[in-house]
Amino acid sequence: MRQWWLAMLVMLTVLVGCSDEAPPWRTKDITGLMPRLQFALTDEQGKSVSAEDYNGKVTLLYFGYTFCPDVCPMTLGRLASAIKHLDPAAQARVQVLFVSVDPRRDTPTRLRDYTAAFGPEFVGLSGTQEQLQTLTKHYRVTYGYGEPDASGNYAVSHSSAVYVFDPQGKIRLLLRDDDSIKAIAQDLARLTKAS
Amino acid sequence: MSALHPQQLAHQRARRLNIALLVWLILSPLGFAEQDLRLTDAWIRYLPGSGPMAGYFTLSNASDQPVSIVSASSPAFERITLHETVERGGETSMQSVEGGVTVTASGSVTFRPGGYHLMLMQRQRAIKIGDRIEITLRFGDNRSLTAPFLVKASGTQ
Repeated sequence: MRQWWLAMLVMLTVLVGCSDEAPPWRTKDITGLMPRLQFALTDEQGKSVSAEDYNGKVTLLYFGYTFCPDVCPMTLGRLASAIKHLDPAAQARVQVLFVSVDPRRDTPTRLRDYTAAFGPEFVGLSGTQEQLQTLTKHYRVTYGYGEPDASGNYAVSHSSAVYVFDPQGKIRLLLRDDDSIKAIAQDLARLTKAS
Repeated sequence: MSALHPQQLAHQRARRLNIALLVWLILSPLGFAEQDLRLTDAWIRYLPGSGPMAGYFTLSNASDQPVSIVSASSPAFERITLHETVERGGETSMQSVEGGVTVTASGSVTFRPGGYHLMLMQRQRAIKIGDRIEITLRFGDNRSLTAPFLVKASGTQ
């Protein structure tokens, strides 16, 4: 009788000890809530690319435009800072896809020069309105064009979130403006080790 | 005393201007002031190409009257407007600020990334990181304040 109780106790202890509670993510965990990474766009060399071309790395997807002097560079700068917090091996496993929602002004060359200002991990992508709308509908991203002024300048409103996909292209995290750079870096480090 | 040769005069004037500029720059950490208004931490976020860049600063108002920043200008840009980044329901946009930005009496306002910024449009010359660009702020009471804005790297936080 006593042996049976002992066996139960040991088994329970072992079960509790093995409980595999993964620590919570520092940023918003949206695993399973959005489709896997999928798109047909044009890269900085003017070549047609699809999501498969970017498999194998942790991918950060952000929508913006280069004529945006404040929020887009601020966000890309925060991502660049977070990436610099990672060790070099992890940095090499992260890429940022900056998708322009302003194809009229953002040519592949313009995007190439712009993303170079933030780091080698940054890639600019553009597309036709049709390609953009397919992509933005997928991830429930909205964008719109403001009225042009006398000189033809116009602002583009766009979603401010950054979508993070794991190296297999599965959606994992949502990064927002109030996430600290440290939190972003910790989650990215974890994702680069995950696969 | 014999008159200075025109070339020597020009040389002397250039030297004086350089010394004045040097003194101005050395004193710049103290801020650029116009009576009770002081402008500090003025910087521009560098972006490549020909698009607009953003200017940021802190303006302190030590007087007992509110003051409004109504416009800005610079020889380096064709046009500067006051803008504010606004986030609504997950969507971000930049809006022109109508009616100027008020700095309360004994208060200050900071133009910072994600908030108020000077939208610096149509650069009139090549600009690079490390340059100091003169920008003049104009106030509702017609006073103005000019300060050099330091051009910093694109990813500056």
